[in-house]
Amino acid sequence: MNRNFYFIGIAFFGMINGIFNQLWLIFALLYVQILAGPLLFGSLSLTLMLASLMVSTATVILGGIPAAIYERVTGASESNNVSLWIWLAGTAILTLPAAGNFLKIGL
Amino acid sequence: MDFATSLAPYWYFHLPNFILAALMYTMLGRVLLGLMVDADSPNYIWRFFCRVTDPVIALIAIATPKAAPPVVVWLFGFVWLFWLRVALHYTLLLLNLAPRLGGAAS
Repeated sequence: MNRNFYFIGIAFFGMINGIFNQLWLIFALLYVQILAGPLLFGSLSLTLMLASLMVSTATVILGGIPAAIYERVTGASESNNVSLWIWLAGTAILTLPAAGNFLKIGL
Repeated sequence: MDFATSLAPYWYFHLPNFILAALMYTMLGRVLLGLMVDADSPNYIWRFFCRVTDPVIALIAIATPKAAPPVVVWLFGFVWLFWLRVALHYTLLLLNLAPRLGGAAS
């Protein structure tokens, strides 16, 4: 499979979790307001967007850790199909809590 | 309460939080400057950003698949540091050791 499809899938799952994971989104929103509120001109929309971005990226990062471990254990010099599958699956598993909201509401 | 007395009781939170924040924004600066300068640029601001953030990036690269290009690793670094700051505050909050949200002392 083309590498770009893996990346699109990983980004898609990250986006879904960033938008629909109520628990993490609210948690991130509280902290983004405190840590970066003035940088975002106190705008709630911008704060919500950054909070969503933080949750999305954290999902992608955490989903990538098992893939990175696999690459280090096997001594791979570059990411291969297996590690990209692991990354995709890891991100998908982390997105499960948000799947219900996504299916109910949709994009 | 003046500035010094508000910082002093929670120095164990403010000091690491300040260091993490400085690293976080330097990382963001590196991403933005990376759009304009070459990776081996002699620009002193670029070299400063690289020197400060390279140790953090080396750690983050261990936990990131090799398919991620450098600029993505830098952005991941920004997010890692943000969540580290959150984790630091939340952990201290659970232990009733952190300043409360909004500045009121716990």
